[in-house]
Amino acid sequence: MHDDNAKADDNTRGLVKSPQDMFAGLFIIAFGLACLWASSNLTGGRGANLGPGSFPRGLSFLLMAVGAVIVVQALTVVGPRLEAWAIRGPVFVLGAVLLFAMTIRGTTLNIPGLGRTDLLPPLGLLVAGPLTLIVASLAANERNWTQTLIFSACMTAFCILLFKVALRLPIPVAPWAGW
Amino acid sequence: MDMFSNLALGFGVALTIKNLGLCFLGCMIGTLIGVLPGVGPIATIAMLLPITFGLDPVGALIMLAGIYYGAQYGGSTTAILVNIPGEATSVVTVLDGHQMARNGRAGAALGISAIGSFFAGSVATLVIAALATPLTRVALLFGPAEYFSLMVMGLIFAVVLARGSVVKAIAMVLCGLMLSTVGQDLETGADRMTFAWPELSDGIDFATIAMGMFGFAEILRNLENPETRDVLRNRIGSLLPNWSELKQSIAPVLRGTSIGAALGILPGNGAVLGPFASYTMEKKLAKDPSRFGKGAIEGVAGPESANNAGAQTSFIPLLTLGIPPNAVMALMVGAMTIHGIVPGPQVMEKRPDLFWGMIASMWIGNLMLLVINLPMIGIWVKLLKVPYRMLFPSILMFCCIGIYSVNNNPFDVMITAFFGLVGYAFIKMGFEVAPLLLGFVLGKLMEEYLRRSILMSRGDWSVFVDVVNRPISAGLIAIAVLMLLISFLPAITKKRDTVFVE
Repeated sequence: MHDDNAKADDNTRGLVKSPQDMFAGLFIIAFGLACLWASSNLTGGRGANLGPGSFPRGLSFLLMAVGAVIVVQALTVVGPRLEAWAIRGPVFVLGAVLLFAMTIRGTTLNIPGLGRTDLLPPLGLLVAGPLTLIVASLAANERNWTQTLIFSACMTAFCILLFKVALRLPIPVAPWAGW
Repeated sequence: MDMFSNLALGFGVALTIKNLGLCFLGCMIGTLIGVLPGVGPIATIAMLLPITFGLDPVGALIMLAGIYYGAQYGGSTTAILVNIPGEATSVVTVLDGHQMARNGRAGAALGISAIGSFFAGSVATLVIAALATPLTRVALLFGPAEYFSLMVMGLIFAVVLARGSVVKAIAMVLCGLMLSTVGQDLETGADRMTFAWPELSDGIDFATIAMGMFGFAEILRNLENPETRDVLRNRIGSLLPNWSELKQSIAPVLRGTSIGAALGILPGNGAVLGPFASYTMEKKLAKDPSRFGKGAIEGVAGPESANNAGAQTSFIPLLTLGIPPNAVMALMVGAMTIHGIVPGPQVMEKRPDLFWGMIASMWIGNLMLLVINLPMIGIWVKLLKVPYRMLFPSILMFCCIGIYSVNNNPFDVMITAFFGLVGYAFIKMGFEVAPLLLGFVLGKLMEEYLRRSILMSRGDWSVFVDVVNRPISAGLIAIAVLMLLISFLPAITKKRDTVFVE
């Protein structure tokens, strides 16, 4: 799947013909190396007895080999450029998810030396829900605060009714009130 | 007739009020979510997994299967009415389906797609029932070496049939296999690649990878490319095709059903090819091929039947061999595991009620789809107008609650966010993530079979290609290697590109 514009500026390309593939190949090689390092403390086993380290290590070498093939392809076949990363989408969408994880049952940090510290108390779905929905809404291009607030309230109510009341999943809704 | 007594047992299970209700609910919700543009079957199932947690395994699987073909069906509706293919398999439906809608025949397109799908689904159900017993017997002859080779072949098929670069797809499979090794080693109990995090010693939950890389990453991609939704403003018109349209469709439906059912059985993602193959065939057989792309009903009837037939028969490798042929089936494996069932040949022996109940419910589900979809088209059209800025926070919310509920652990939610970021990076690097999920689901089993085979062969790595003692294994490996080699031939590469681009 080569873009037309990728072919058009073929002559202006230097050594790397497909920046996207170059990056992809290097990433796979790096991932293979990282896994090789991460599994280096595992015993490999000998002969008929494959140990816990054999499979991951074998895969690491395969990954590096495949990564190398992708790099070679990137140097020989013209392909698409590396696309720019959006900032707003990932920050707000994934931020909203992290906020949900941190507030639903609270967050306790375990810092060596300082001991356990409570960063956030358990807030339950009643707080985590609207928080997640509002922060996630910030990722969209257009914004309408009234709409967002009403929508968040309705959606949270719907989720509580569906998951807690109807399906009886053990998810905390308002732990400070014992629900 | 063994098959009919088995089917009777299945209908006995599926026709209870509770299971009928669950099947109906599954089809409804599946269609509801599947209709939403930008939410494909994989994301739908991942998202709706938690609502089955409280059910018994039979009910849960019946409902999940309902969600699956509901979502599949909903995707076709979106393809016809909005010109957005929900998934690879409905890409072809867009071509003539949306043109028919523009010509004022939206109703007929939806109608023939429903009728064709129902027919294909009924035939596919019979195919599954007929093939299940013999294939399960074959599977019981398999030793660890054969299983390992079969999985290698399945993964190679999936790679060859994936979109885009074959080498990149192989890289994704390897990444998936690698991720599956995280956690305690099954044999020795050693912690592997957990970086001393106790949360990781149980391994990475498949739901976190599925929802992160499919659910979240897809949202990030959609936010970047604001879609231009071309929701149909014409009248939908009568849902029943007229006589001449019906007559034109009979042969394509029959051909589409056979192609789709045959391709769906292949390990690897054969079902994807069904609609493409059917469309190409209809175009070749047509008296006037120039009508295609301008609203030819054969171009909807054939591929839609092939799509549904393949969607159903792709259950065969999963139910008989325990090997998921595509990402959706990989999700079904995850769902079964959550409910304490290990998919494979032993399911039919140990839980015939579950096995045949599910098969019977597939047919009932198809009938329900026909009944609920046609009168409810108006509601689906309204749903299509929900703006994305409200849609994606809701999807996000459902995913968060869903992942949290798998283990009641907020840490899983964080891991999912991480995989969302990784999935987004993969999209940017031009990787297709479906093979990764497949590799991840098969990884643990593959390693186990590999280690057992090597142990049994006393360290001799040639067991897998031993033509004399293990001809099945050697044959499977040979097919895999052949497929891989063929996919690198220049002529095929070109053809592959056009198939997926067209």
